[in-house]
Amino acid sequence: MNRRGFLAGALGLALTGCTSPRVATPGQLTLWWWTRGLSENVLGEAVQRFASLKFVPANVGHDLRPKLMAVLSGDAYVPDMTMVNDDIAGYFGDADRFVDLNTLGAARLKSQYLDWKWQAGSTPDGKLLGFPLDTGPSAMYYRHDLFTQAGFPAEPDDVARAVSTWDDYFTFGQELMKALPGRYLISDAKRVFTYSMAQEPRKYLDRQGKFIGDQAHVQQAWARAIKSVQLRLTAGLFDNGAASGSVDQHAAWNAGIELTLINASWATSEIKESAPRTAGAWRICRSPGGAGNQGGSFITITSACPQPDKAFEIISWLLNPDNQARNYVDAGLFPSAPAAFGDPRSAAPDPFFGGQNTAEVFGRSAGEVKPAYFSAYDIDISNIYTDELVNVESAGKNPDQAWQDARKAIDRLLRRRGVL
Amino acid sequence: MNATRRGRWTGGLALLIGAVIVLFPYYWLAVMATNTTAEIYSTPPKLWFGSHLFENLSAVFAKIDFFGSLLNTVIVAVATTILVLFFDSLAAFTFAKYKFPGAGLLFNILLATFVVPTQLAAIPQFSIMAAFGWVGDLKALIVPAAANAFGIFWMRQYCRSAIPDELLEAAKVDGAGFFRTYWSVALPVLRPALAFLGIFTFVNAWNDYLWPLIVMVDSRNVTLQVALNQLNAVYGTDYSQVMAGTLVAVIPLLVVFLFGARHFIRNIAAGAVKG
Amino acid sequence: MAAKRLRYLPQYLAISPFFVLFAIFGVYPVLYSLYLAFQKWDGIGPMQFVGLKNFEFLVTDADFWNSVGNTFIIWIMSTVPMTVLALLIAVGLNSSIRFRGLYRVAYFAPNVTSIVAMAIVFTSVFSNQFGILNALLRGIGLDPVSWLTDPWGIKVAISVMIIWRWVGYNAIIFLAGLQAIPGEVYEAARIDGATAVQTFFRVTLPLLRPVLLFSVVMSAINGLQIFTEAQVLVGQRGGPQDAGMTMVLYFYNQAFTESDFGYGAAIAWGIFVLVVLFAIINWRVIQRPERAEVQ
Repeated sequence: MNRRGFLAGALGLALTGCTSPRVATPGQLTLWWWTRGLSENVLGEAVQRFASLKFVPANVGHDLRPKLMAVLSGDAYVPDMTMVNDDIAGYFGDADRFVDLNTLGAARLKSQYLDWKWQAGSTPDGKLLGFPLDTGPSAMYYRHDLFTQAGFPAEPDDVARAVSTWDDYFTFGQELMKALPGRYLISDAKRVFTYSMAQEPRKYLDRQGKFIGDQAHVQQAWARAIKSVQLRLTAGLFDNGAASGSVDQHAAWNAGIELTLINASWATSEIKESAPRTAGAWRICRSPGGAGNQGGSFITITSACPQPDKAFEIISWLLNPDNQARNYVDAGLFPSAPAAFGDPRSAAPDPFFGGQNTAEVFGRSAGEVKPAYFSAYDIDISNIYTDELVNVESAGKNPDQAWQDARKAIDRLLRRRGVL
Repeated sequence: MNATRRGRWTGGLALLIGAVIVLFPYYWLAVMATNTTAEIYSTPPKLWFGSHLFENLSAVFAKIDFFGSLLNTVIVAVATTILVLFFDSLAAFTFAKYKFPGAGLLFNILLATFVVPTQLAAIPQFSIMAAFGWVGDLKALIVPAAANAFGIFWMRQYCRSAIPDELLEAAKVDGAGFFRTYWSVALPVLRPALAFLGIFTFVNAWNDYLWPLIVMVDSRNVTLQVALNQLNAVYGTDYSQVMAGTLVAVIPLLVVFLFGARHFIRNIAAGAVKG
Repeated sequence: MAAKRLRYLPQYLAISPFFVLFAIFGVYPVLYSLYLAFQKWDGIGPMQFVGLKNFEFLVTDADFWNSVGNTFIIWIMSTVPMTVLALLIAVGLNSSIRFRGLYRVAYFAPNVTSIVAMAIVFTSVFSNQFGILNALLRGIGLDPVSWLTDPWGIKVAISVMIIWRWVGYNAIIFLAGLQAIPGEVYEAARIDGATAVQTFFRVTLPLLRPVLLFSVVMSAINGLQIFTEAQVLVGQRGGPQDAGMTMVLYFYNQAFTESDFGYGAAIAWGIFVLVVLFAIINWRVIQRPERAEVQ
């Protein structure tokens, strides 16, 4: 065989994938998940319960995307079901690779889940790709002990009233930092921007695909972030996304230097684990500016799955309100089914937060989140803005220049993606 | 004389300080692996060993199939190393000592593959493995790595200087064929260089991450590096466990290295020096 | 003709494994990435032909050129001190000190350690507020440095990681080079009345040139592919002002994080061109003095 013939043969062979099975493990129903993405107790019970369907959970670590991409583009060894994180909108353009869960009767379960979460897993034309797993309602975590010590309001309701708007929060923080020198109010400007945007019902693109990421709501979040820097309320401890990116912040929790933290519900497990000695010192209350959501994942069924109805049976059991409460208790995953908020297991007093019922605070936040449209480009756009905020905060870049540069970078990005 | 002794003494001291700095990260790895995550983050940082190593390790063993993945890694690293040593030294010996039509061109092609972009290879390679039905099989890790350009290039440099032509002539007179000459004349001479290439290959196979992550789809049958990554959660990771897992994963490598070190280090530069 | 070809059959067979493996596992991926460079592709859906658009975008992409600049700066910041240190260590190891074997193992160990495994250790060393290095600086009365946010701090931190990993490797290579220099050469220099420093610069260094060449070319090939050190230290986004964004990290970012595989492929080919140019220049520059001497 000459070289060209050989190449053509190799290409043909590789592209057709003729000798390999389409699904990960034929005869079984495989679910890709990652550590703490689901309660291991619930998974273990599911394996027993769906033994006849040969349900197999496979922990793939958190580098899911390159792995999923390889199996989907090779169209071989595709898992029957896979978890997808809050970047689910990135898969909407390839909706045909997943099963529309509405065709499996998902609609009858819709009323059990938060409407905005349900919509976040749906494509603009109404296909449900992701079944709601957890949510990330935001709240303000704060140091009850230090607030008390400084003679400030320290009980959740009082604090929430004192910081009800972002401006109130900043004023409150300036006073607080005067009373507690050497400590800081906010980790970084990026956090202000991210959680301010998390409260907005409109994000960066509208449902028609029109760019709205330079309008008043984004400008407002930007201005708040800049203000927090100018008032010297931030410490510049930003999470750079590297595996080890939050070392400084964890150390700050331990040292009691961070006074407040606006974050999603999933931060509870992170604080408990990296700063156990601060047990009892923290409380949570409603976030300045109101309810917001950041993060939260879904489970999808891929179109390679030969028995989507059976897979759906498994998913809808795994994620039913009862198991959502167990997910919260075992893995800190805040439920997307309101019935689980009041469940005695989730609503138990948490000694780490001084016996507070944290689920109540997060639950109220989750209930107030407004439905929003997330486009496939939202994460990239948000990253461009927060990159520039880091430049302002850590390198003293001129804020106006930073805004201009961010706008230019977003313009380039969207032109290349064909949005503009 | 006195000056020389003083010079030697300062030289020794400088080497000692340098070695302490270079080894410090290992020390700290051990400190973190024996403490809890909270102790890692305390201020001032904890600088001495804690007592939680076994606790951390048992958590690691409970969460991931440590020994199963260790076995997989050993199989992959050993098999890859043996194949690379054989194929690379054979090709290097041939390129260094024989003239045949196209040799120069073929060697240049081999050199060119050094710089060809491989960053995107994982996705098309997955398709190839799928076509072969090798996905999820250790073969997918071993076979593509069984011969490499760097090893051939480096061994060729070594062969040129280490194997005198007279030795080959003598073998020819004795009636030894090509493969016989390689096996009983060249290989023994190449032993030190093989030690270098062997450790180099073993270490790379041991530490490989992205390709095993992608191609070993069945997450119950993975290599050690991929298994260790399963310890990282999306929200909040228990670093003391990750460190404990990393520590026990580094130890076998250091042992292999310590045993092979003498051969390895003596000959690591041979290609560079003699080439 | 056939008989003549058959005569070389054993040789062709002997070199065939590499070429066969490359034909199966290497050629297709290379062609694939070339093909991809002319497409728009999100990694999952259908591809769309875009002609030279990706390359047009590449040459005008300030972020890409910034990453090229960073890569070269980091390469220089790591290679120069590393070579000097490696030489010093090699000279030290070449003298008759005790525990030479132990030292060699100690200096070489980082080269066989997974850098990902060491990521958290290094972050804890360089961490701005709670890092060990800054604690040390404060301890001796100096101002702490923002290693992970200052553009130069980031480059220094990445360079230190590279030096840590490669200094022992190069020291061992230099050591072997030193040991290959015959003793008579030094004897002659001593008779001429040369001081130790003169001997080093006039005798030792010139004789080490082939070894230095090998080390520099290898560090050029490795240095232009810097990725992991930057990724684990400042994250996928390259840190403030993209100060830690290297070429390969930028590629990874565009392809795997932003799912723009067509553009990622174009970047990969851009890097390829730069590496080839750089290797040629390197080779020329280092070889020139030698040629001049011969003349």
